[in-house]
Amino acid sequence: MSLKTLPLLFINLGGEMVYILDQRLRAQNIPDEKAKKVLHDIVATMFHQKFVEELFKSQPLYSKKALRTVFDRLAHASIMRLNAASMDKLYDLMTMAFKYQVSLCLRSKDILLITLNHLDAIRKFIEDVPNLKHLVDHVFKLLIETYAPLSNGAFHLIRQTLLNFFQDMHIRVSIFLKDKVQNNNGRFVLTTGGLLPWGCQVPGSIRLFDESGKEAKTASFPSGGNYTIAQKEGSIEMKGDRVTNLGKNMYSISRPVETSRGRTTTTMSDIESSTPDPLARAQLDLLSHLIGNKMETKKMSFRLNLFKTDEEEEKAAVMQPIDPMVAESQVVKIDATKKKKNEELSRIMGELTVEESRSPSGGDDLLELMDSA
Amino acid sequence: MYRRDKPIAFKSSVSLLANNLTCYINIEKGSLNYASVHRYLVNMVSSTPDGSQVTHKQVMCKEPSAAQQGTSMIIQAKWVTLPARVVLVITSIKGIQIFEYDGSAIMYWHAMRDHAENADQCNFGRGIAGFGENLLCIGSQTGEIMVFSIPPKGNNVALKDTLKGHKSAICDLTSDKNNLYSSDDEGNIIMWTLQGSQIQQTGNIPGSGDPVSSIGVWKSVIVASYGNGQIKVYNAKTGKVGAVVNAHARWINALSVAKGTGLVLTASEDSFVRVWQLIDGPTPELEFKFADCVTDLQLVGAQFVDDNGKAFAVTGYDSPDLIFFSQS
Repeated sequence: MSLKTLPLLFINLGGEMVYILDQRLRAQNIPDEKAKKVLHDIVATMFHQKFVEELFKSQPLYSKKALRTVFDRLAHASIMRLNAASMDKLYDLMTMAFKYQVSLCLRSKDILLITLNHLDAIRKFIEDVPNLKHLVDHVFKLLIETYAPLSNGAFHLIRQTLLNFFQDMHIRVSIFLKDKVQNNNGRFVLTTGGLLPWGCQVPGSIRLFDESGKEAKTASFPSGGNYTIAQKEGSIEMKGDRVTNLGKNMYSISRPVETSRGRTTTTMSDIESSTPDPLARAQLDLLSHLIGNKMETKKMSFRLNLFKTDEEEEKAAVMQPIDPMVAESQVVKIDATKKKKNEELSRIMGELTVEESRSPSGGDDLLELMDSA
Repeated sequence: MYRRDKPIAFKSSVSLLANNLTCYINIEKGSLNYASVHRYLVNMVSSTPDGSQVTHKQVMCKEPSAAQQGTSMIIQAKWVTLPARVVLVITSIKGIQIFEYDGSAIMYWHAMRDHAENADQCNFGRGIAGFGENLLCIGSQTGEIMVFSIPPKGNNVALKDTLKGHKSAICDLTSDKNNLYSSDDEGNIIMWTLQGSQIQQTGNIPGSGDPVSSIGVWKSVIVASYGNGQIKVYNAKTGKVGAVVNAHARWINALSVAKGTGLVLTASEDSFVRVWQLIDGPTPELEFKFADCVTDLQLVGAQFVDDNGKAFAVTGYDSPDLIFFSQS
């Protein structure tokens, strides 16, 4: 297990969260000012200097449960409220998106480029706020200091640790299904052929050497795909070309994210999630302390519902197992368009709606959530 | 050359780790045994030769002192066949555990010390090989190789020696009688020989930064698979390179050598499994024999079932399937 995995996990999941929330806030016509406040508050909390410095200390990964709690709190760092069922959907989408990126990256070092894609996008969101820009720049500095010197082997260990964390999560995401990058069983599609990792040669040739070390013969064999050599290594400069598209915002206005829940796939008992993690607890305390400082804005809060109706939401909440980690076994779909839905997609598709909190007790959701997590 | 047979499913999915499949044929009991790491436990399957009866077992990593169990990430599991005994070795981020071959009883527990001067690194075992009459070698993150002596019976395992030579984490170990070969994260390979009771370094092959994920030996040929998708073949005595193969499009996770025939099996995250033939000589060679794509599976384990390479099995990340191929 690599002890340098947590910052990458946190920043990338946080980046996906910002993408999804931004898309929904805009699609649901939340007033610009409120939408901006939500994103700015979340970025400010996520990249709070003290928290980030704790995050970058060498440490094991949090348990799944502890990490989920961190994001529950992060999502509620601003005036937006999510109930537990809606939060599940958001978290499932974030995790499947990052699992996809880590699984499909060409080589392990690309995880740094994926992280920089997320950071580049976050920087654009907060461009007009100098204080936040300063926080993002600080994270960039820490990322480069920590990860630029690492060897291929060290990155590979980080990737193994991340994929170990995401193992057995097979939630179907409709944007992936539509793009044919995910199968109906929740597994990602692996194409044979295409771009090779930086520094990798096209498979299919054998070079034989004589005793003086000179190339004596060559032979070939079928490579099994149409491969192309990478022309350029992704840049880790502040404003460089990352080359990879993994980690960029896949939810544009024309491709709204919709999520829904169904029942399928395996449920694994996970003893890890039931084990308390003292290190994670200390950091959670710090994070909740940081978030706690800005809890005074209750009156303008609004509730984000990821289901069509309140009834559906309630039903989902009843079905909800006590352990939030079992949410892994649920299906989440993002549909790329509202117009063309195939039968199966529409069957398990719900709608994400954002509405002003109707009852003054809207703020209580957060407390409930914190208690249950 | 090979065709796919009916798969067997482990109790849970396989983790993305190098060399994540180990096989052992128990001739006495007439059983074929397979094991693979699932996060914090090892899934084992035992089957009759015709595959008609299959039994499952899971081995948890237990820490002797701690009340909680089984939460530490396992890095590797491997059956090691010594002349007098077969043991199951499991390395996790907490330490090294040596079990009876069937996982029924733990023989030995070696806690990995945290290195004070390098507290930002987990020190775990990776690379496992039997050596000589009764030695078990296990590589570590610091580059050291621990040498344990395994008694023919009982639990009297002892740490005999620590081999220093590698400066980065060990990836894999392989051995042939009294010769041991070790590979590391920077691509270096070191050759060691057992002389009497002393283990001496006899040569090294410098790397170029790409980890040697897996290494095998046959006659006087070393075959190594790399993170950049290449396979390289070296003379085991001189260290001279005989062949360089652009073999796979992604990281190669596993390599297996059929000791009887010199067939080599490689499996990669590009979802391809390939079989090669080694040719011994002053500059050893290698020929392509067979390839197949296991659709949408990032392969992490590959092992010949028998010494002649008549059948092999592969495993892939996030899937419980043990996929078999046999010669047609």
